[in-house]
Formats: sequence, structure tokens, C-alpha cells
Amino acid sequence: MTNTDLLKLPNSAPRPAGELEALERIWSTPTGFRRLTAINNNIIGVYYIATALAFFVFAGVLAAIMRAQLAVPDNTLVSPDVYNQLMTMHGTVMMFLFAVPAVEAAGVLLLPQMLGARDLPFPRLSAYAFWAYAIGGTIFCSSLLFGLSPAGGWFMYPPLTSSSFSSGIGADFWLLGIGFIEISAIAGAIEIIVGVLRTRAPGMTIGKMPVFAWTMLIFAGMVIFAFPAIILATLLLELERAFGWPFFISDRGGDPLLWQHLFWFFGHPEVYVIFLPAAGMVSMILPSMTQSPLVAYNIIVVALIATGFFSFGLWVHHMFTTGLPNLSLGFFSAASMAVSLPSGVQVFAWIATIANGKLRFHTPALFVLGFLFIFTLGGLTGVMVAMVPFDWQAHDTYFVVAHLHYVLIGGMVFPLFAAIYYWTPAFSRKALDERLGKIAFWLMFIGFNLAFFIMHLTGLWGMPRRVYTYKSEMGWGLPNLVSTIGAYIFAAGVAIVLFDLIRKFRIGYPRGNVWSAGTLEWLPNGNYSARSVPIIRHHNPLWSDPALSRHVEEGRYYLPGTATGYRETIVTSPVEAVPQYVMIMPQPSWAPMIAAAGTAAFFILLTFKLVGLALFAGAIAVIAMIRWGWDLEPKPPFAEVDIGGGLRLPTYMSGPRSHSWWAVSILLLAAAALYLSYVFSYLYLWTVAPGVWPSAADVSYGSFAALCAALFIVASVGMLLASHTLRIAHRSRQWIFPVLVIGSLAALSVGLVLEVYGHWSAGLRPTINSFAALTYTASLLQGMLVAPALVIGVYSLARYARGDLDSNRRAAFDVTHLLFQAAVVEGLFNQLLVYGFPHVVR
Amino acid sequence: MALGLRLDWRVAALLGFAVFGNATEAWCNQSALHPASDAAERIFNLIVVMTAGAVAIQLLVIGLVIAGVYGNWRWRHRIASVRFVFAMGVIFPTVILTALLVYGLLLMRDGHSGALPGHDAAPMDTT
Amino acid sequence: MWFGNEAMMKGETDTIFDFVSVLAGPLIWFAHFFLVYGAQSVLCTFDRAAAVPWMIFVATVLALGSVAWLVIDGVRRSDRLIPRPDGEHQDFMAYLKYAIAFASGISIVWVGATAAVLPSCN
Repeated sequence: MTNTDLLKLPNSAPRPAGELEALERIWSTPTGFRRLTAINNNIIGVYYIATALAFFVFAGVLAAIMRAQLAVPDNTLVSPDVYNQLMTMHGTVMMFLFAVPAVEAAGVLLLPQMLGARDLPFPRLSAYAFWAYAIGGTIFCSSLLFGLSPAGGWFMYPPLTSSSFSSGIGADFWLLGIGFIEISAIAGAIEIIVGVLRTRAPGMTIGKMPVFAWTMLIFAGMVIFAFPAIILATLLLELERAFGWPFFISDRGGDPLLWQHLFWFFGHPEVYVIFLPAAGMVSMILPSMTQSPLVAYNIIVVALIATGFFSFGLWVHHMFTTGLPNLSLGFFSAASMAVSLPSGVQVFAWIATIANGKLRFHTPALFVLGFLFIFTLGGLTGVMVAMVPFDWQAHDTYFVVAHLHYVLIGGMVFPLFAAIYYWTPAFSRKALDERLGKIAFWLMFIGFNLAFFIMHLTGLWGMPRRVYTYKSEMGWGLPNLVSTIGAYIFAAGVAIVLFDLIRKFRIGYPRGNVWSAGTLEWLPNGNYSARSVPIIRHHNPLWSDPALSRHVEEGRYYLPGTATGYRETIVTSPVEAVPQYVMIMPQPSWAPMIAAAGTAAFFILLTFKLVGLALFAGAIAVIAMIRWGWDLEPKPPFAEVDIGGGLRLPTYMSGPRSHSWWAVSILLLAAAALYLSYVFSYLYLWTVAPGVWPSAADVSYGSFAALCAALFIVASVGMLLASHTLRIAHRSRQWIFPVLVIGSLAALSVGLVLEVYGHWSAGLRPTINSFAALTYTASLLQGMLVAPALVIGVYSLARYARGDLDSNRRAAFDVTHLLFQAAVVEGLFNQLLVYGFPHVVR
Repeated sequence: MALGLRLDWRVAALLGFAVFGNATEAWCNQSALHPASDAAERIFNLIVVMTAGAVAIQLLVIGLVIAGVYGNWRWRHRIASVRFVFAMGVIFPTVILTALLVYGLLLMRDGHSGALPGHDAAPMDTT
Repeated sequence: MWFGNEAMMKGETDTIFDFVSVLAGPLIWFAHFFLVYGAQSVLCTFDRAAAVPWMIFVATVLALGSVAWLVIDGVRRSDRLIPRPDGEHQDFMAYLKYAIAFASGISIVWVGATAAVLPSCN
């Protein structure tokens, strides 16, 4: 390699006539009514953030009503029940419908541009995740209008939320609605992981990746491992409420504390799920604002990864007052100390970056400084509540309310508003107003501290959380009035930002690099992102090569047009970002939106116990999904294309290198996390109530265990053979493949049905005790893998019949195969746990 | 408490009273700043120590930000280095947190006896 | 091609496993944390309090030993690295590996040390 090689651009200019027009045509956004079919990240991403902000405003209005109620003692503005609904909805909407979706949306919007990709790898999945969230979230919020909202607090502890104490449908709304939105979050996370690891610009090694991309990668990894715990928890509680399976009822071997374990195993990582991307935004904004590179990039990346892991060792610190042994609490207190290290190191790295350059006080910089102030204080009070003895005093008081708002508003809302001001010119035709921005910042900063700082004291003075009012003798009147005034000042600041956004934000040819930033999202871009995909050699490519923007726009880098005539992007290797193939991407379609509406309707109708209608909606969703997949992977016109500079890449990839293989593998990690949460629940309830577990002599329900296991193994071998047949592809014996697939699918399904029949015929009923309920849950979880394997299996056979599945283009089958083998493995584990475990422990 | 930081609850209550003149005897009953047992007294000392530490660190951070923006060349050069980040972000908190963790664990070992008779929390209507 | 090589383009090297191996330190932390918490809960449920400190001591020594090896080995290796042609900081992945292992080590010490102070089961 010589220096001239390094400087040579892959393509010559001027580019052939019509190349840019073809690129623009294939990436154009549908107009009019069909705009709803758009799947491009710069459209969906903006819708996504706008929706998240709408939910932010909604939940903020609820908070304003609560603050009005609490402003004076003995107030009767809202009734206790309405207050409980307001409080529950405020927390739930802020956490599940604003904070997590907002950062996920920021990832969808920013990542492709920042990484030099044309779009995220599964645009229709992004569209589905967005529509599912928007439709489901809107219906969830509307429950408040009918007084049907959940009222058990945002963390929904049973027994308060069990059917005996919350008999209305509010709790079901929460369980089904939130469970469903978590599924949408996982879909988005898969998209983001594959996008970050596989669609970076050539040369953007993992050590040159923008910090925001790192944070989104870790964010998505945490979603994959943490969110299944809440999905399992909502599933169990809903099974208990709807069918009486006793997971949380102590009379029948359940334990309400199991909910707290599962909820916080999700809930604590979730705080960092929200905070990490916000920290990533700060690490992008500060270098621009100071016009100097980030100091200690390497240490920051280490800190981010460490946070991702350590945050999984904190969940019991929400349970310090539940009577667990002191030593257990000690472990979690120690891990809580550990997680504050990486957050602290980032604060000092940002300070170092500020000192490294000359800070320009634009609005984004102000919001970042506000974030530094508020978040540091929130972190310090976090260390305080992580000290077990302190928590004994502060638990469930307003001190905790103050702490969590310092962390969440300071750690997420301020960086998000900085990001809104910072990145608007990268997507909108106009930038936001600096003067209004500064006014908004000061209102928000002063209002926030006025509202929440005093709450530390209100809490130490003994005011408990979640009370709808308090007596004037308690002396909490004045501090509460101060909080209320602060909250309204904060709201005024938010209103100014929203006003300016509505006035100025217009999707179109973006305003451009107004901050002289150094990263790729500031390249001139359209729907197709940058015109050509640059080679990356530095952390801040726009600073190190001032001609980069011009060369990219002239099409002098890779893939200056459309090589196959379809939408496409370059797929690179995960660490070194070496180009591997050109991926053909889907066109806009109605299918993702219809599938999302069907899925949302399915869950909502289930809430109202309208099972027939729900199944109908579910069927529509499945059909729409099949339709969505049907025209993916068109037969490429060329096996290989030249993307510039003589670099020829294949246009199709199957096997472990392909993006679809990666996506399914990540989905299976989430399924594994779900299963591990289940195993945890099983073992936990066993330690709580070993008495309801049968003795070895009683394990009569195990009669079919061996047969089930044998069927699963046969099915597994059959599928492996099918995979092999597809590879060698005998044209003369085409019937072998479908026969093998159908046979294996049948063996798997029969094994599962037999398993359930075995329990039932032995007289085991899921309602008798927690052991029986857990036994049936094992089959249910396996069914959640078998069902999609069946649907996609049949779909692959249809593609095979159409001639769209062969030894090369075999992704649909590979997907089935991975799901299928996972279902087999889970089935075998189930036999071990459900039949084997009682033998071992007795 | 040996550290000389001992702030009597009465002082805290007076401070609160000075700011929020509507305080009455009643709210002291369930205030964490009004320890009514030996265990609560020990935790109150922890609260005082941690509050003082938190204030000091918060001021340090604000001071460093100001030095980073407006400081002279020498200060800013010193702050803008990986060595500074490592010293302030890794070594300093490790030392502080180790000490704090041990303090907290020792308090836990000494246990928490119940509140003294006659100091029950005021009843709250939480429906 | 100025970046990468044939094997990387074909996906024979540079796979996801390169990425996962970097996470060895925190994975050890994770295993240690869940082992001491889980085993302590189970041992206490079945009245085996005496075994708890031993179990935690052994698990902590093993975890710390492995993490220390990762750090020492990583630092030693990175001293011998030839700078990359594209000027990226030594070998970034090798750096990540030992630095995260170091952070994990601090947390393992803290978590293990709680058992030295607190009683096993109450």
C-alpha cells in the first residue's frame, strides 16, 4: 500500500448522465396518501421522534395535573382513583412510550447517515416497529379518557395488580399493551445491532465508529437481554389474571416478589438503556461545539460497555426494603457502586473535551451543560440511595422521586433537547431559532431545579411517594408549592421548543453542516443518504479531509448510483468494516403498516376478552407479514456488481455472513433470554415453595417425556437433512425437500401437543399450584418458537414452489431452520427441567 | 461522630423551619432528619457525611467545567488530557466509593433496631 | 484493496466472535455475580449458611485470577504490537479487552468483599 493508493478516489468525475436521477428515482418517497407506505429511515425516523414527543407532552400534561393537585395540602382537584391512574400513566407513558422509543427513534434517524449506509438493513421492520408503537401507544393512552387506565403504579406490583385487588381491565391494558410495545422495541434493537455492525462505510473500523453508534449498539444489546424479562413477567401476570395460573399468589406456591425480580431485572438496565444513547449524543455534540476531537474516546467506549454489563447487577437495589438477607443486598450495593464508575469517567472525559477546544455557547451546548450539572447531581444521589442503610430511610419517599427525575430528565431529556437543536439542520430545511432555544433552555433548567431539587428535602422530611394528597399539619405545603411552580416553568420551556419545531422543522433537502461538525451525517444528503459511500480513515472524516463532502457529492466514492436497479447498501465486516456484499433493500409497502395495525388490534381486543375478533386481527397481521416478505430478495440482475474503483461485490449472500442470518440469531438471543428468565422464575418459586413440587414418585405426568424428546430429535435430524438436500439440489428429485420439511414440522408440532396432552391426561391442571402453572408455561414458551417456525416453514415451501428458493437464494429456509432448531433445543431443555428436576431435588 | 461533621437534627429542623416557616412538630415525626433510635442516629450520620461529600463533588465538577471554559491555557491543557480523565474518573471515585461501601456495609452489619415507642409514622390515607 | 484482505471479504476472519471475545472480562464478572448471588440464596434457603463464605471466597479468587490474567496478558501483548498503517490507536480490540477486564476486576473485588463484612444469611 502506498500513499498514492490512499489518496486515489475510486470513481472519476463527472459521473455518467442519468446516474443521479436513477438513484433519486429508486429512493424517492411516495407522495400523497401513499406517504404512509414510506419506509425510508429519514421519514420513519422523523415520524418516530415526533410521535415520541407527542407522548412526552401527553405524559407531561398528566404530570401538570398531578402537580396542581399536590400544590396545596388537602386538595380535592382530582379523586384518589383518578390520581392513581394519572400517576400510573405518567410513569408508564414516559418510560415505555417516550423515553425508550425516543432514543430508538434517534438511532433509526441518525445511524444510517452517521455510518455511511443508505438505510438501516431492514427498513420494513423499522416501519412495522414504528406503526405498532404509534397505534398501540395511542390506544393505550386513550384508555385514560374512559377511566379505564391501570392504577397500580408504573411498576405494577402484584398483589395490588392481581385480579383480586384490581379487577377492572386497566391492569390488562397495561400488561398486553406494554408487553406488545416491548416486542416492537426488540424488533428495533435487532435492526440497530445489524445496522451498526454490518452497514458501516468501508474503513470505519470499530475503533473509528462514532460514539453514538457505540451507545446504540450497547443500547440494542441491553434491550435484547433485558426486555424479555418484562415480557415474561407481563405474560405470567396476565396468565394469572385471565386464567388463574398462580405465579404470584402465595397460597398456591407463588410469590409476589417474583414480579419485583423480573420487573427490575428489566427495569434497572432500562434506565441505562435510556441514558446510554443520550450520553452518546453528548459525545457527538461536544466535539462540534468545541471544534476539537473527543478526549479519551477509548476510555469512553470501555465505560459504555462496562455500564451495559454492570447495569444487569443492580436490580435488587429497588428491593432493599423487601427483607432479603443483608448479604444479598450487599452484593447489589457493591455492583451499584461499580456502575457509577463508568458514568463518572464519562463526565470527566466531557469536561476534558470542553477544555480541549473553545466552547461555543449555542443552544445545544447550553443543554449539554445543563445535562452535566443535573446528571452529576442525579448520579451523586444515586450513590446515596445505593447505600442500603440510607435507602431504608429514603425508600418510597419524594427523595427517590427527586433522584429519578434528576437522572432521567437530566440524563435523557436535556441531551435529547440538545440533540433536537443540534441535528435539526441535518434533516430539516431550516435550523431552529437560537434565541428561542436559549430562552427555552433557561426556563427548562431553572424550572427543573426548582421543581425537583426541593423534593430531596420533601422526601427527607418524610413525604411518601404516590400519595394523592397530604395533611397541612405535615408541613409539606410550601415545598410542594415550589415544586409545582417549577414544573410549570419547565413546561413553558418545553412548549417553546415544540412551538419552534412546528414552525421550522420541514423534511426536505437539509440545511446542512451549520456547526462545522466532523462526522458523516453532515455530508450533503438526500433520501438515499450520501450520494456515494466514502472510505473512512479518521474519527472525524469531515475535519481530516476538507474535500470529502465535495467528492462524496460528486459521486467519486463507492456506489455513486444504483448498481442493480434496486435500493441497495454496502454490507461490511463487523470489526474492520471490509466490504463484503451489496444488499438489495425493499421498496415502500403497505404491508408493515397493516401488519402493525393487525398486531395492535390483536392485543387490544384480547384486553377486552374479544377472542374471536382478536384472532381475526392476528390473522390479518400474519397475512400482511407474509405479503411483506414475499417480494423481498428479488432475483438480482447480476451476481456481482462493480461499486467503484474496480471493487466487485456479490449481490446476494446466504449463511452466517448474511444480514438475515444475523437478525435471526439476535432474535434467538432474545428468545434465550426469555427462556432464562423463565428458568430463573422456576428455580425461584421452587426455593420459595418447594412443598408444591411433586416427589419423584408422583412424577406420573412424565409418561410422554421420552417420546416427546425422541420426536424433537427426529424433527431436528429431518430439518438438517432438508438443509443438506437444498444444498446439493437434485433437480430430478425436487419432492424430497418439501417432504422432509413438512415431516419435520409435523414431528415438532406433534411432540409439543403430546407434551401438553401428557400433563393434562395425568390430571395436572395449571391452576392448582405454581409448579403446575410453570410446567404448562414451559410448553407455552416453546410454542412461541414453534408457531413462527411453522408459519415461516410453510412460507419457505411456497417460495420453493415458486422457484425463489434454491441452493443459493436460501435465506427464507435458513431463517426457518434456525428458529426450528432453537425450538428443538428449548423442547429438550423443557423435558429436562419439567420432568428431570423434580427427580433430582427429591 | 468523629468526623466533626455531626449536624444535630434540631439544626436541620431549624434550617428547614427558617426556610419553610409553616413547619410544626407533626412533620418531625416521620422525618429522616429526626432520628429517634440508635440505628436511625447512625444512618443520620451517614446522611450528613454523604450530603457533604455530594456537595463537594458537585462543586468540584462545576469548578472544573468553569476552568475548562474560562481557565487559562495552563489549566485547560492540564484538564484536556487522558491522564486527567483517568485520575479523576477512575482512581478518585474508586477510592471514595471503596471507603463509602465499607462504611455502608459496617452500618448494615450493626443492624437496624426498630423505632422507639411513641414514634410511629403518622397515618396516611393512600387510597 | 487498501483496507482488509481476501479472507475478511469472504468473512473467514473478522466475525462476530472477534467481537464477543473482547467481552471476556465482563462475562466473567457476570458469571461471578450471578453465581455468588444465586448460590447464596439457595444455600440460605436450605440452611447451609456455613458454606456461604467459602463459596464466595473460592468464586471470587477464581474470577479475579482469570480477570487478572486477561489484563496482564493483554497489556503484554499490546506492547509488542506494530502500529497499524491507518494510524488507529494500537490494536483497539486488544485494548478494549484488557481495559474492560480491569473495570470488571474492580467490581468483582467489591462484590466479593461484602461477604467479608456481612453475615451469610440474615
